[in-house]
Amino acid sequence: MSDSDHGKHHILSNKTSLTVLLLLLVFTIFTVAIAQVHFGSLNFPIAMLIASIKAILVMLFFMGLKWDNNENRAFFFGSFLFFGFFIFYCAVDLLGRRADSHVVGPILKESASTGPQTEKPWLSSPEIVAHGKSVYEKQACGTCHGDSGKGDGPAGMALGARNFTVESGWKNGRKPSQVFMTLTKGLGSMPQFDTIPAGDRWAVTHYVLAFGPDAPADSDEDLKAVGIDPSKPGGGLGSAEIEKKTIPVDFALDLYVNQ
Amino acid sequence: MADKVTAFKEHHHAHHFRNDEHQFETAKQGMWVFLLQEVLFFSPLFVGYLIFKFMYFQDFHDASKHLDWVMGAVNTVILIVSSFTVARAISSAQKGNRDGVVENLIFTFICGLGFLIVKYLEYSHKFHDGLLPGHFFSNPELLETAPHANLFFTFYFLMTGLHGIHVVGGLVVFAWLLKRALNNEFGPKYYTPLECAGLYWHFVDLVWIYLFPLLYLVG
Repeated sequence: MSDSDHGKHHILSNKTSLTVLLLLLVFTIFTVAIAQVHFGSLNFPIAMLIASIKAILVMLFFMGLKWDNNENRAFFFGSFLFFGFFIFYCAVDLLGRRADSHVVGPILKESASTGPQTEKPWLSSPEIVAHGKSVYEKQACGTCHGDSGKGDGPAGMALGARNFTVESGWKNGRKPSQVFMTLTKGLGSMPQFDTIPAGDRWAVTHYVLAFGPDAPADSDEDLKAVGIDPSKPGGGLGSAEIEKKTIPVDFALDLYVNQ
Repeated sequence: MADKVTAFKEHHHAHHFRNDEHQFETAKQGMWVFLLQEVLFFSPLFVGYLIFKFMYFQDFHDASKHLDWVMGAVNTVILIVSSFTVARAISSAQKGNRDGVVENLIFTFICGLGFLIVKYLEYSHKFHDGLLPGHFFSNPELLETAPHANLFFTFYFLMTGLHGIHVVGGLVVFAWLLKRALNNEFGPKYYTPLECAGLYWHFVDLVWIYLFPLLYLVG
């Protein structure tokens, strides 16, 4: 029996359906076999190509789109077109995003309690350390750095989070101004936290330094080197500099993933 | 070809259709629109999976090594064969072969059941190993080496779960079709429900054709 139009409806012949079945099985074996061989980045497109050949066989013969009318073809193939748009625009967004892209982020909340007001926040005090502890907990720094500052938080192992209790190996230095700048600008896998107020950042600085041996003090030159003016209250860091209510897109994505 | 002549039940088209053909084409077009929606229904999961796969490439790779590709391959073959038997059920109806319809529907139903049994074995193994979505994830080995492996299993369970629900839905439909086929309702003049269920089942097969390599092979 051949694939002829029997009346108005097409009847799939035994020969055609068996051929399609065999082809589908052969391609299945093929895709499993080829996955055992490592072509590096080519494995993925090869697997998708084979899957698409199988899908087209199913659509054309089993689903009968080969003999169906153009409307039904347009419906179904059109859905894949929109699927393609979906992938395309997501890829454009992800690949075209600049490292400094920010989104409005309510995720990093401002601290509920205001820290002690001080004109020279680069100097530690028991009050500022206590406030730093509350900020540290509120911003979930312990997720990476651990509750005891040893860098042993659940997410910290893989990222190589800093252990605050040891004196050596601080990439950016261990003076308060240097730690403050690490918090502000980020460092490696450490995200930047410039969305939390400068006073809170200073407080966290003194809290994390308190985990380890006494930190070296900042000289005026040290402060000036990172853009802090020691002659002005709060180092001249006005609220305008800090109140940026956005967070980096990539960091926001990380936060969602980790939830 | 049917060896014996079956007395098929007469089917009358609904009064708002011109004729049987008009009703058949309308039902089928509705099915295609439904399947269009189904593609878009599944697509966010595929897009999300692809995005996170490339964001956490190594973690997803390590996590997918914990899937059993043999089970995935067995289920691929099961679904492909069942797609074939559905197509055979339809052509049997078109040729007036009532027993062919019944046999192929029974075989398709068994395939669907087999798929779910394999899926059950896979799922229980994942539960046992703590390979679970999101914060339920508790596999000690992967927790150490691949911190985002839980995300892979979030997608694994969402995608195969949604697909599994479609398989269960298909089985319910096939049971109903089998009852009607035994009642001599489907013949050359009327087999619309078979045709539509067939399209649905092929779609379920299509989804799996992509899920298998994405999750089991190149994950």
